[in-house]
Amino acid sequence: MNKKDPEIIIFACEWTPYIGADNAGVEMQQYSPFVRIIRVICTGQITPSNILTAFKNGADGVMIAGCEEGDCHYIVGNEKCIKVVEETKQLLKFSGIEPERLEIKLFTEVDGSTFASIVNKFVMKIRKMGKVQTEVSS
Amino acid sequence: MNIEKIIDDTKAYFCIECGICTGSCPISRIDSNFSPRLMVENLLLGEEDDVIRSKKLWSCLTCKACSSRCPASVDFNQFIMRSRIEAKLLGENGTCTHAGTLKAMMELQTTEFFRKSKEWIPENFKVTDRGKFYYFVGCLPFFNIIFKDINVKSIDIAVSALKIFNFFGIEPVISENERCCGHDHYWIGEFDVFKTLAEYNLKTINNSGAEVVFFTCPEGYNMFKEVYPLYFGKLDFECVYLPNFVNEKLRDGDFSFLETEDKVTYQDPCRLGRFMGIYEEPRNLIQNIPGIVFKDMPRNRANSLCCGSSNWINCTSVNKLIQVERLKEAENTGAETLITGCPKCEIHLNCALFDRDNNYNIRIKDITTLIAEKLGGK
Ligand code: SF4
Ligand code: SF4
Ligand code: FES
Repeated sequence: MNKKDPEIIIFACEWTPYIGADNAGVEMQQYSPFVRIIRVICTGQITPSNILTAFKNGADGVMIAGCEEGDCHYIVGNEKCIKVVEETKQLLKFSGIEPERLEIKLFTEVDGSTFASIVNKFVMKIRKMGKVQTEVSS
Repeated sequence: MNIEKIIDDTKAYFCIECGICTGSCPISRIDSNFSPRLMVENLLLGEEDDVIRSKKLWSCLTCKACSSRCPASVDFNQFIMRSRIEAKLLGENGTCTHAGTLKAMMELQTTEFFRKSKEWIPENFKVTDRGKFYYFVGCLPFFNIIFKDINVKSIDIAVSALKIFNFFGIEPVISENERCCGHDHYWIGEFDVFKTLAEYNLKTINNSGAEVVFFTCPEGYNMFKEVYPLYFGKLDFECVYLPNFVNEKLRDGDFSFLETEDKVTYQDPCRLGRFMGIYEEPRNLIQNIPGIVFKDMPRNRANSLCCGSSNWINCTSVNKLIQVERLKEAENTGAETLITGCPKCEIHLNCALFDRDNNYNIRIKDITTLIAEKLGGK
């Protein structure tokens, strides 16, 4: 891996997007090699600390992939996660990390091509932003 | 394991088994299974697993109510902190409150790229990048985001501090490179994180040319004043708790307070009171506000009751009961406002206040905010 390559974490709910990721494999869809997918039972399980720790450990972007609104298997997990993401974006902003590096996407489809294209779009965005700044100016 | 060293350094061997610690401990009063005396005994008797491996190790508030009364001068706070370091090595852990958000937020500050945004500073305030006076903002901007759900606006404290500085003609240095003081990691036994944070802070402050560093948070104040020097030697600057500075100005007759109508009481934060011995300055400030009615709670100064939680670990119904007890005590003085000197007391007591099972007629206010509101003519 190149030093300039972005490192991207995707927290994917196992009910919709993770099936999409599985299908992407079955359909032999190509998507960016810079992402690492972490399967979660529901996006409602994700806390700000999971996201902050990802950035602390060197992530340049974090995408949270959940089920469509009204379609969460635990009723309001995704709605709760939307709030968590809002709060975490604020925390990132106050830590010198662009809040755009964090995104939540709710998936309606389980097909591989949808998953691949959404992931690729996110990776493109993060590539444009570059790595989280590391130069020292103190 | 360094058990013997812990016993040596904390003078645990002096323990006379009087039980004053357990009798003084706010946790023991509610949870009879928790006993500082037993922890000391167990370690002395070689039953270290009963201490190091026990979940109770993480319930201690490190409030110093025990050690401040111990007739044998056993340093129970150090005892807990050091035991936690050993416990961490064995993979033991406390339960993080707030789903670990605060802990992760502090650990994010150990990275090189972290920059604390100054976006919270309102336009009309004067601050600078280099100078003699430095204001340590600490975690206030983050608390402000995390605790907005329980109606706590921690950033008001920082804005109030700026108002006070500018009122006295000071343009304080505020730095993006500042980190959390490391207080919580220090007390939960994660020494490395504490050390990294402290090193960043010392570098930042030394580079700013500061001679005096002001604090509005007693935890940061205590860390800089008493803990940093233990590990980094004498600091190149002076540490001042901002209300103390205002108190001196008041004594010198440099300004006066505006008239107000309020009935208040005061909560001694453990870091400020039992740790640093600052009891009278905040009271003096409050009592000098014309029109204010001040009444102390029955448990005050060194006997003050902790706000019920610290270090962002192990907050349970026990802690909530301590807070409820304290709020009732405050209300019984007839006060309408409970003044505290610590942003964390403000958060914890507000959390209990927010609980709609009880109806309280009291609100919580930080002393820095109170001062800024009532600053009058020079
Ligand atoms: S107060 Fe001190 S001497 Fe008494 S039991 Fe506790 S640690 Fe031992
Ligand atoms: S420090 Fe406070 S909470 Fe901990 S044992 Fe002593 S009195 Fe109890
Ligand atoms: S089950 Fe998929 S987001 Fe809750």
